[in-house]
Amino acid sequence: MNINLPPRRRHRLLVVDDDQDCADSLSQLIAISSDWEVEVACGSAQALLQAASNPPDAVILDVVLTGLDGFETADRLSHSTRDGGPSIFVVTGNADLQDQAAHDTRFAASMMKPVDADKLLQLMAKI
Amino acid sequence: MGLSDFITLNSELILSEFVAFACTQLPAAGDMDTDALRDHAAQVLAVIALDMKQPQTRREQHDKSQGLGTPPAGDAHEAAEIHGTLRAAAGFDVNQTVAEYRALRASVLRLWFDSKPELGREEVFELVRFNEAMDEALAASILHFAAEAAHMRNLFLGVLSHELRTPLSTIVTSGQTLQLASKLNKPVPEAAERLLRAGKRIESLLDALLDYVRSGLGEGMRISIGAVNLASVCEKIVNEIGTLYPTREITLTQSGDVVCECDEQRVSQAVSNLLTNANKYGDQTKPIRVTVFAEGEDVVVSVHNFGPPIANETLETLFQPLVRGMNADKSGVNLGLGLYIVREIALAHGGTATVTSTMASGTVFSICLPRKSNPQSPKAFTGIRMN
Repeated sequence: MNINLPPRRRHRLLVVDDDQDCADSLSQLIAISSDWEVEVACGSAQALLQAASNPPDAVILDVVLTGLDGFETADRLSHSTRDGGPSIFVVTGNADLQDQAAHDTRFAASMMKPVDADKLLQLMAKI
Repeated sequence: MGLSDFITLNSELILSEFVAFACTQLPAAGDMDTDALRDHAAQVLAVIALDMKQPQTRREQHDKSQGLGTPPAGDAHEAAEIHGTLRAAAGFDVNQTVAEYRALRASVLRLWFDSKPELGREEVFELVRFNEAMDEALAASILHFAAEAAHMRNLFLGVLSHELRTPLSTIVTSGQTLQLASKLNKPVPEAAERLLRAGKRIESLLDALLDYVRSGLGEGMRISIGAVNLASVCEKIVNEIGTLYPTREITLTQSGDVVCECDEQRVSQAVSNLLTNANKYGDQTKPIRVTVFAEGEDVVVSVHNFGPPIANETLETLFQPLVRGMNADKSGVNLGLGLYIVREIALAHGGTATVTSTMASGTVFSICLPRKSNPQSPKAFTGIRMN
């Protein structure tokens, strides 16, 4: 008997931002308008801990963070699992950093705040 | 004695006079370490003297005066460039930088003329070369000053954009959540709370910006004086911060007569800024201690937290905008207007805002206000100019 299980649907999301309210509001919006299972991490240290204990399929990340910056954090996240890590979406209020991230192949996409949640969900559906 | 020899032999005297001028005449220099003031001026002087000793053809002289000359070898040009950058970062504006060079030139020439030199042909040529060399150094300094000022301006705007867009994002996403939730008939009170907090945050930021720009325009901070019990003010703020961060322990003690003539709203703002910082940067496992006490003719409010000490070199710069986050990593830049405003509030009352920080004793920010109202007329702003 040959049982071929369908590939697991990608559904775990980690939202990382220094600002608790910003992270919470985005995560609540995504949770209420999609079937993504969302967790929030405030800061890079917490993000890495949570990603280690409950590996996400996708991460939404601001690149301005205390402690490790977003780029460093992204690096560590990619090395955290064997399949190259989660898809990382950068969401930031800094136009220069957003531009930098847009040209960085580590990231699936890069957007400015305020977040266009519909667009983000469309991009996330493709991973 | 020829001018270049005079400069070399009397550099100490020239620099002393120059430093005395800078300390008394230039407000931005008031807080600077005399060694720092002197060091680049010394380099500039030394290489100008050297440059004057090089043989120079009339062609080269002409080119130099047109700005076409090759920059003097390494040091004077570099020193002038660094000078410009440092001056901008220390809060000097273009006028003060130019005034500094003027003072250096005047000190040299005055002291030289006082020595009653022979004024023959050679001496006149030397005078011309000296002025050319000074002008070249000044031009290099100003060029780099302008570049540094532009860099700071862009940095400020970048950070401002980031700090405004984050609560804006909270507002937009929380608003969308409320829309969706209302269709789904699902209550989401926390979304409404986030909306309100974000609105407040943007309001605070705009208020802070307005204060900052006003002080930059020399308008100073308007205060309205009344008899205020500073312990009551602190109690109110401690409770507010306590509500926002319920797990944080904050103690309040008072001693002596803590009533003083001041602007209650402004002083509340200052204490709130200090407490927010102590909460953000201090050791989370230890309490924050607020003390209000009488000290002679003044009343002092001090906010103490444990945590990593702040380096001595950084202590004074804390009260300037755009200070990097105290973890000193490149991503931690924030507008840093909180402490700037604390100091402006203290100064507007004729008081002071100070900080001490050691590993053993932790960090203490203190606002010292005169008990009897002593409002100051607007002081010249010494921070980063936006123009």
